[in-house]
Amino acid sequence: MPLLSVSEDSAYHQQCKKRTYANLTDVVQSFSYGENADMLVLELGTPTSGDGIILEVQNVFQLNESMLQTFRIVLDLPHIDHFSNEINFDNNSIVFTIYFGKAESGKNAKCYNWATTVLWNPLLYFAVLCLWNPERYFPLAQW
Amino acid sequence: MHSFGGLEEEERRAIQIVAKKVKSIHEGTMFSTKTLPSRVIIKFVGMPFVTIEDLRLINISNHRIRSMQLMVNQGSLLVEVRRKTQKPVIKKRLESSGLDKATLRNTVTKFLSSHATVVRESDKRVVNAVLECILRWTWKKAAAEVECTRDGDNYKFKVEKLQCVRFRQLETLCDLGDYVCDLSLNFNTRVLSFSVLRTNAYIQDGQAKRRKT
Repeated sequence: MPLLSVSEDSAYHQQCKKRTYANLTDVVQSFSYGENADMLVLELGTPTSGDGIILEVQNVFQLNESMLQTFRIVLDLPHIDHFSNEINFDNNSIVFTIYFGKAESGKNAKCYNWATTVLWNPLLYFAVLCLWNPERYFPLAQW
Repeated sequence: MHSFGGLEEEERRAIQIVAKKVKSIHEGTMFSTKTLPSRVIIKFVGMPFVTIEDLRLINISNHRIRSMQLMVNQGSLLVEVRRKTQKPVIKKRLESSGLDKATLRNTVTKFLSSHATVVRESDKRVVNAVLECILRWTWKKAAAEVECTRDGDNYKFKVEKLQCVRFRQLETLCDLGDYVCDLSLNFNTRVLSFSVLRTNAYIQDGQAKRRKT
């Protein structure tokens, strides 16, 4: 059935969803002990107002600042634009609404990305050799 | 004044009336209460389904009922009963939800394009209004899956993946007109279904009219 949402279901967003879900699941597992032994992450769906994912951490019986802070750090990644969390005391759950950034901004987020394509180009090295010793390497010099 | 468990006689009676009304609709329903200083939250579980008429009956059963919420995900109905008569307070200005008309229209138009073969040109306006209503309920929450099928002259809607919905929100859908009918929520399948009847009223009228209740 089609979703009634602003979001677009692209491959990039699917990848972001998987990555975010895996990251949060790993962190939640590390906190699953004592009172919170039964904590689990559940995917509630996609938010209507943008590209993202809604995740719910269930069976949270003990909540402390370090746990919340760790969750926030895990969700502070380049592909995540912003997120909001809601603690539901009635159901002992935390709901994270995570919004992803654009695919382009995610790819070109680093300023050194252009250098990788240039540095791997053999023409660059040939040009450097021509400048260093044009008589030997510049093909037109022999003519 | 008789009091029991921190509750006054009148409050207990209000809970009993609401519980009795719900039990008269679905016998196998169980309930639990949570008493807070300003309100009592009654949680009903074990309801197989609930219709808008049932909710209206529950709503008018007692004047202390403040709101009703259908927790689709948990399969429960929450009824909030006011405890004390509150002083009239000036309502806070509602914060903008960020849902502007252009976004609303674009999203609904995009959705309707996938149902182009189902929805007739003359019915697009009413289907638009229905979808706008559902999008308003779910804005900034989990997106709902909506299926629109044509059944003869009418349209049947099925809404899945709803997390929770309020009675007032359901009423806004019914307020669109008498052509929105058979609204019911199945707690087992977690599907909200309703029909939109094809009438001359909205096809011939220049502007959609809201039903006066």
